[in-house]
Amino acid sequence: MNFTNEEIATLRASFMQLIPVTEQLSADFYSKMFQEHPELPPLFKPDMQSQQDKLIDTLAALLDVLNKPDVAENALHDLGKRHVAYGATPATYAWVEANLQIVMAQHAGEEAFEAIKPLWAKLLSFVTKTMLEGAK
Amino acid sequence: MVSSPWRLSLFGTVGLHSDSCSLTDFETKRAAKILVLLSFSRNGKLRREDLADLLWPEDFIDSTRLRLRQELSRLRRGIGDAADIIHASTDDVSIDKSQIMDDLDRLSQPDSIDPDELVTLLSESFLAGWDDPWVIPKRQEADQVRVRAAIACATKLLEEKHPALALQVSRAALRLASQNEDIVKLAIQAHTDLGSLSEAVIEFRKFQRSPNETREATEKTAEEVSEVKLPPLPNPIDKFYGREQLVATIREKVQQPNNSRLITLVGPGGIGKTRLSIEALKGIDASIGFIPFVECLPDQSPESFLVSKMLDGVVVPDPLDALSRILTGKNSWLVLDNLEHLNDPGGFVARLLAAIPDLKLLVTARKSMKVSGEDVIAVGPLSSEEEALPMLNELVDNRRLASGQVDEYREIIELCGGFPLTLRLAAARLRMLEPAELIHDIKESMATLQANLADLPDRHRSFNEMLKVSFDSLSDEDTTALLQIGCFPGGVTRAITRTIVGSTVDAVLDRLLDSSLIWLDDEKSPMRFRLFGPVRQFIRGEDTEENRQSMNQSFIKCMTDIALTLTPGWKLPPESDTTLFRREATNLQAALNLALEVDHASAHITFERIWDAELSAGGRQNLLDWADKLEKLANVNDFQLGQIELVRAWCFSAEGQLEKVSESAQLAKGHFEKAGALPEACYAISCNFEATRHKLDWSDAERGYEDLLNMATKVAPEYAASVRVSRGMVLTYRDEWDRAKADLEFGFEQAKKAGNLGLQIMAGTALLIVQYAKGQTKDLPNRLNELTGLLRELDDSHYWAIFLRNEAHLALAQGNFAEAEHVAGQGRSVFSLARHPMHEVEIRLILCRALIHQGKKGAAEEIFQEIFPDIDQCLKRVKVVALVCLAELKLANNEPEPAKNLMGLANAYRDQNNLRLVIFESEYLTARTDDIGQTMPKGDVTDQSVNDALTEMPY
Repeated sequence: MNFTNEEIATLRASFMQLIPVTEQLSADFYSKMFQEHPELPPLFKPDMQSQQDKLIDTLAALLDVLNKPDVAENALHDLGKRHVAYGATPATYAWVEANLQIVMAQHAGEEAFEAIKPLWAKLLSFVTKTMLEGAK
Repeated sequence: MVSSPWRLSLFGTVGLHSDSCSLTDFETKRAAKILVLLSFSRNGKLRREDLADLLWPEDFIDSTRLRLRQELSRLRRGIGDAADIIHASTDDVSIDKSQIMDDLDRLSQPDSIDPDELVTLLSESFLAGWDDPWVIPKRQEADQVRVRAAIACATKLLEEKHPALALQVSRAALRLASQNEDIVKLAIQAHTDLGSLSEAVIEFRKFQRSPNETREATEKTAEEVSEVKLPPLPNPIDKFYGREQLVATIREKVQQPNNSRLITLVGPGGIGKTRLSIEALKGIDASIGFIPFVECLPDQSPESFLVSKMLDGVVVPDPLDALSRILTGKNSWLVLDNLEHLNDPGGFVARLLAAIPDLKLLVTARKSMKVSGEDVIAVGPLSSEEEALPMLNELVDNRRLASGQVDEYREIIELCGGFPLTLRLAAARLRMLEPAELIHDIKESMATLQANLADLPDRHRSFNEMLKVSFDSLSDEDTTALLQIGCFPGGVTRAITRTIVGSTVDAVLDRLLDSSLIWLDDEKSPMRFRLFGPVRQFIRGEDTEENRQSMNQSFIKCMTDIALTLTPGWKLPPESDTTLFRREATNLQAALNLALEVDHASAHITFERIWDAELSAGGRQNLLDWADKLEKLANVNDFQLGQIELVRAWCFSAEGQLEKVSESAQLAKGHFEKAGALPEACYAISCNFEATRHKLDWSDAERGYEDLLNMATKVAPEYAASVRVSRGMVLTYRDEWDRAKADLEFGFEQAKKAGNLGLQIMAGTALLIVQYAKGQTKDLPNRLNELTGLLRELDDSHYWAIFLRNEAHLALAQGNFAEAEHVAGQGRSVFSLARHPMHEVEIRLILCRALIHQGKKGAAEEIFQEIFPDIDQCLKRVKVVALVCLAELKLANNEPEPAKNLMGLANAYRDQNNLRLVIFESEYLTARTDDIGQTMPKGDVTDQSVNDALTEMPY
């Protein structure tokens, strides 16, 4: 799946706007995850702060290499492989894909996010697909 | 853009620059100050007396006029071609502002500065090394101007698509104002434009998380504050003469509960305010409580100064708040001596009294504080007949005076202005001269200066004149010795004086003692010779700037030679080094500060030799300040940069700021590797893993130790032992007793061979836990004895504290509760001295448990309440112990249900976080769970719910 330069620029600008709220965004995301899936917490390390940081770092790193599809795909394949050991299933990916957008919309502002939602959906779907390929 | 022929640089080196030349070589610092002050003035003009007052705030105005004239000549000589821009008239001195533009003017027009130069201006210190009162507000203003210029410049650069330059500018500005949101946003934008959102995220995290660290530091001081050792009233050995009425008045005012909360003893320097305050309070402190006494020294922030005097150099983000914690509830008097040395003394006193409603202040100063409700007591000269005459006579030879002699003595007293210190000097001269000769000398000296100092108040003139007579009567050899001894703020031993004056040392010291210009501090061992405060101040004025600089150089050299005899910071010093450091600490610190001012290469040597001892004495703020300054010295090399970062890491470690420890340790490692200093690089890595261990990142830590051990074995075999001890300690938390034992015993034996007492103690202390866990309790008393012997030899508070914590744990685990109480009590004091707040909570919990088991519920509750404010900042495993301890207290209060809830919370918190407890702690948790029972919490246990449970006021 390729992204045009314009799409990449839009996604990066959108993420840059979110940087000041990433701390709360990632905390809300995991809180939602653990509420809806109480079986998941034991799969994570106790230090949730570093887990939350990792989520944001991964998104930032992905957006930094999105203009080099090979690099992005390789990195996501590796990440997918590692997530097998963490107990991630296709259902987990589907949940993350849907809910990360919900939490992002809450922090970016529902209206503002609506315009770029299809692009984020495209990006997260690409992430899911590529990580699951790596997990095989 | 406005341009001027001359630019005055204020950041980095002060100097005048034109297109064709740079003038930075001023004869004296004061000459440069005149230039800067004129440039700062509104229209470039200052009245002579205002200028003199700013340059010599402590001195009498008339004595400074001559000096101003000299300094102006020096300035003109120093700036050569630019001398025409300075104009002096009888009343004013001015500068042609159309011919000169200083850095602040230029920063107000950001277009006049290119980004590279702006980055330099953002990184340099403003008027580096200048600490005059007028510089402080200007420094704050300069920071604001710099930040505004940086924001304007970075914004423009981003608009013009120069993100790399914008990033450089915003990063430099962030070092200056790390909490400025506008700059952070510019940095994020610059990173994003440069293609790195990852860097942008990291930049923002740094910004967002730093305030929490500040808060943490504030909270951590609470424990230290409660253990503060306030400086006591001095106990002078000299006799106090006269002033009975004043003593009685002060005592009466101090003892009346409804009297003013601020009493100020006002009078000129040398009049005897300090001695009077001590005499008045001595003897009544038993009835009104302990009276702390603080001698004020020049400092930028009075609040910080006072805290540092009381907390021995501990870093405190909010000094007024810390003072409030220290002094609230004491309901006692605090003496602030020579308060005029601090900035804005009146404002400071008003702030203190407002913040601490039960505080009462007795202040000595040259002027009143002008604070409402202040009770001013003027301290004047001694009365001639009743006070001064008996004093002078007793000091000379205490004989019956003939009537003619009485008249002569009266005249001398009048010439001395009735100042006690001047009378002492006169008495010293009277042992060698006839009264008539002394009168002649004083009058002659007075006449010479009268032409220049016509309107100087009589008493000031008398005081100065007597000092001058004593000073002028010295031989050249004695004068040189006195001036040189005056450079040593901590006084000098005979041995040091010998290096200054050579073989005639004894004769010189005898003569100076006889003259009463120096005094012998025989409370110290070995005895030290010191100058009286006003004498030190006086001789500074008598000396030329040139000579003073040369004396300072000799002083720096002398102290560097002493520093060189000390063992470098990372090697274990012999006991004699510690003693030498403590004895010379004031001089070593002063020499280091002076060396830093003149960019002297010896600063690094002194720093390297004293940082360890300074750290152990609690001087973290000093160390961090020195590190910042050392980094900026010219020609600093990679090895020195590594040392600087490592010292920062140790300072942060003592404060429990683990993220900062890792950051500094990693930087140190990088510098050491670049310098090819691999053993030191190992040391830095180990420091980082210690931080990782405390963060409970077990697997990372152990993997790290493995790599470190391999590296250490190759590059620094002697260091491998230390790495294994460190790993052995990690293993005790993982209950891997055999592996832990192997590591610790190896480390213990190697350390023994190398004579490394500290490492032996660390290994031995951890082996106590291993022996206990393996049931080898028979050998424990021997091990304890052996360690106690080693500790006595080493005498380091940090090692004592760690040992006492484990010994107390052991006693508790073996059911020796009285012993545990005794040892934990000792440990609590020692930890407090070692300033290790992270461990203090642990030892207090042990003490609390020992008290509960002896039925001392009230005392246990008090201890628990002491740890209360720090609980949410301590390590998670310690929180588990705190929950169990609180459960025990609840049970002792006949509240079994809350006790069970707390036990459930403790177990759930431990399990959810997969916490590793040390064996004593896990046994405690298991045993108490069996005793008390537990009610498991509904839902998840979060850090918040644990903090809530512990911070709910239990009593």
